[in-house]
Amino acid sequence: MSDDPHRDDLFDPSEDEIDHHRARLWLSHIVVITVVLVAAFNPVSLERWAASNPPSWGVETVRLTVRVWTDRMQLAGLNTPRDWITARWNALKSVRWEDLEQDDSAGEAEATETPPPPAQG
Amino acid sequence: MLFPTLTFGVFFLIVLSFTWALDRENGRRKLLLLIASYVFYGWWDWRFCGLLAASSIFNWAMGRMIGSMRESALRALLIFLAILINLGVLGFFKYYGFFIENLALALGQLGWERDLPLLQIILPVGISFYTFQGISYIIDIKRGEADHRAGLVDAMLYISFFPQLVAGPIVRARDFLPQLDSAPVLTRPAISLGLLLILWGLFKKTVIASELATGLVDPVFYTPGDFGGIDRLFAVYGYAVQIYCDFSAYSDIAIGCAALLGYRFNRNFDQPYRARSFQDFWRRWHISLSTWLRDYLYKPLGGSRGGNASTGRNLMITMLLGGLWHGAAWTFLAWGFIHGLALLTERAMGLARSGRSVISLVVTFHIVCLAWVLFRAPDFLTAWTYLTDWSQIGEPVRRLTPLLAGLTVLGLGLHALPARGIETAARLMARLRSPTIALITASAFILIDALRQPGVAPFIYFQF
Repeated sequence: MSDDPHRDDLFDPSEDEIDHHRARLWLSHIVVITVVLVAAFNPVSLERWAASNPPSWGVETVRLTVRVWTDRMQLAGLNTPRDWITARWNALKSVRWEDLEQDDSAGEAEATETPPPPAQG
Repeated sequence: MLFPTLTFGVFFLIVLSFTWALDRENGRRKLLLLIASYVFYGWWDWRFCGLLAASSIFNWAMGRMIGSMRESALRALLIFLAILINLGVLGFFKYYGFFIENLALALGQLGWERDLPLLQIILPVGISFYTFQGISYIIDIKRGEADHRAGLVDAMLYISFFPQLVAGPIVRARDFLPQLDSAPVLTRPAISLGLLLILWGLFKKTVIASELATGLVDPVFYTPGDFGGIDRLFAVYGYAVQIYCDFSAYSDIAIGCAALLGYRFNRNFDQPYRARSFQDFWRRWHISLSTWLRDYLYKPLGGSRGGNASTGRNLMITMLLGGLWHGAAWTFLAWGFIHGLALLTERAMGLARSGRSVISLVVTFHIVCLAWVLFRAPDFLTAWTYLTDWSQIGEPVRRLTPLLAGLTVLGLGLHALPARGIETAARLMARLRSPTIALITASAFILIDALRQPGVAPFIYFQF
């Protein structure tokens, strides 16, 4: 443990060479699987990157390939969770205080509404 | 090349793969990192790579000469020259225009108008950071805390290492150079911490800071007189959260990237708005700058060794120069002045030593916020309008939305979390299997990408 209060002891390295190689392998697995998952389930970011770059053979190739992949994802419905999150987030962004007040007053109106008389008979 | 972009992601993956492929070849590994750092820097403007290289080589050569000499007048002269030239380069690129403009104004007011040579100088990205690292290299060698026999590649890599090159943290020569002596050793907790810091930094920058900037802070600070009291109040709180989330995000990502490459940087932020005094605030905010100023400016000036008057003077000089370090504008100087005054007041009243309550926290936070108005406003007039023009105070809320209010509260609420929460999470994460962590990491990336705005604004501290 270091005397420096701003230093994390998490960084204190192991003396064991085997531990180091295991950690390196562990990092490699994490990186490879993460990259595959992100590329597979988040092609939108690649498409956005292609759109933000000046057109060239490489950029166009990426864009067209990703376009096909995005279409396949949509057909399989695998883009649904991401799209749902974005839609909910955008809906939250567009909420104004007046909307909340209207919701509140609608709720209060519902609560104070006289209940219908019980059916006779 | 900005951190939260795909371009940087691809660049970092390539560098990461190649550096670990050269695992046991430390020399070539360092050379590769040096080349990668220049590619990273040249992505903005390749012309400034020459300045960076010249600064690194100059400091390395001076360090070698200073380190190999015994105490003498010549050694003292070399140290003085090295620091002067470092500050001269920074002064020319960063303060020349400001100085000439103000000189012309002052001469005009005295009736001595002159045509002074105004130059449009482009500020090289990160010059304030790498100049301070260069000075740290010289002073650490002078003090015997860093090895003057460090090779050219080591010295160049120390000054230009890409994770911290353009916006810190300001790494000390004595902390970093020893890490270059041998190939780094990886540990699972350090990898976990690196990944968590990168994800956490991306979230803070692209979701919290960007939303607050575009939705609330920028429009209100642009024409503060048009907005009512609630919008203005929350824009200040929002800016406090934005600048924290923006700058600490950069530091987190930098520390995380360095950790994945096997190097350790000290933490740069420690829940600053938890501070119950200004002294405490400066122990938590931009720690690498505050400790740099303390060790290389405040203490050499005499620190608190003299009487109250000399301590006060040293403190005020340090804070004024600390303010000016952020940018060539009077508003930054005024920001430094407010912090200096607050620190002096605390010392004079003995507040920094006494037990502090929640009231102290609230008071400290609000004075910090008041100073942020000067820091954010483009000029004194805007800051003055912001703080004093209350003609539209009764205006209904126009910019603040429930989401932006929620993000402000969230940003402040982060300071109520247990200290070292990320480190605890990293320890737990280190026990998991790699596919599980990959799944968590990928899900977090996709979630952040789904929430972020298209495009990304540069980090605030790039301009410094």
